[in-house]
Amino acid sequence: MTYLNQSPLDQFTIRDLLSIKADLLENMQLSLTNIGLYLIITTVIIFMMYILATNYNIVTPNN
Amino acid sequence: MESIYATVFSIVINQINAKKGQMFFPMISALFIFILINNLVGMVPYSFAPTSHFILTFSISFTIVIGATILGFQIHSLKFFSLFVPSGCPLGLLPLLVLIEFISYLSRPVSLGLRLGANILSGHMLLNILAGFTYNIMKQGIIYFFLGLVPLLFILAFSGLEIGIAFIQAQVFVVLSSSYIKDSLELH
Repeated sequence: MTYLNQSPLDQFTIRDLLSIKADLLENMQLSLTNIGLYLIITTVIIFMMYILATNYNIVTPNN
Repeated sequence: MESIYATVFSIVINQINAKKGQMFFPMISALFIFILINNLVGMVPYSFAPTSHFILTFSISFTIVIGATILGFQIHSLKFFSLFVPSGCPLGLLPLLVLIEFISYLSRPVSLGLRLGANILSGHMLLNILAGFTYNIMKQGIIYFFLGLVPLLFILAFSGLEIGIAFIQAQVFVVLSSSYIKDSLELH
């Protein structure tokens, strides 16, 4: 499939990546969108950075 | 990491109180690193920038300003409304000035969120438009391919600029939110 750049706003569309139609209460629909995926990715990156940065005596040798 | 810590710490020390303000350092630091990483992840090609969506920036900025308002009411109770009265104003101008200050207080979260979102959004749109333009030039023929290298250089330059904007907008957001916290912590 070729990527056609129709409009410069195409890059900001929020797509459903994974969605569950859950009829628990009323008509509930839970979905993982791309903004949610990227927020999860950034959170994981931040956690990894902080764990590595405040890691005083586990990885570093001669301590 | 160390320099990010030093930068945010000096912002907190300078903007909020040097002693009482350290209470807010973890929140401000988390905010800074969150916005910065979100901006930088958006700069990766074929990626997606969460901070270009107003739903995210507005939710962060409204949370901060409403939280600062609640903090101000908790500390000063009803004297918090003296925030709307500039010091040393004549009594005749008071209703007008209070109205103006109130409107400017209401527009704080909107301007805070709009600044971050609009900067990231416009930067990404500019890069996309330039890239489509360059692609359309370069696919015409062999001469146009070499001609298209000039706008390609512009794209590279603007990408560098966007990375700078990612840092600057995160810093501006943090500076303004800490100054709003200071406003409600100590009235004027």
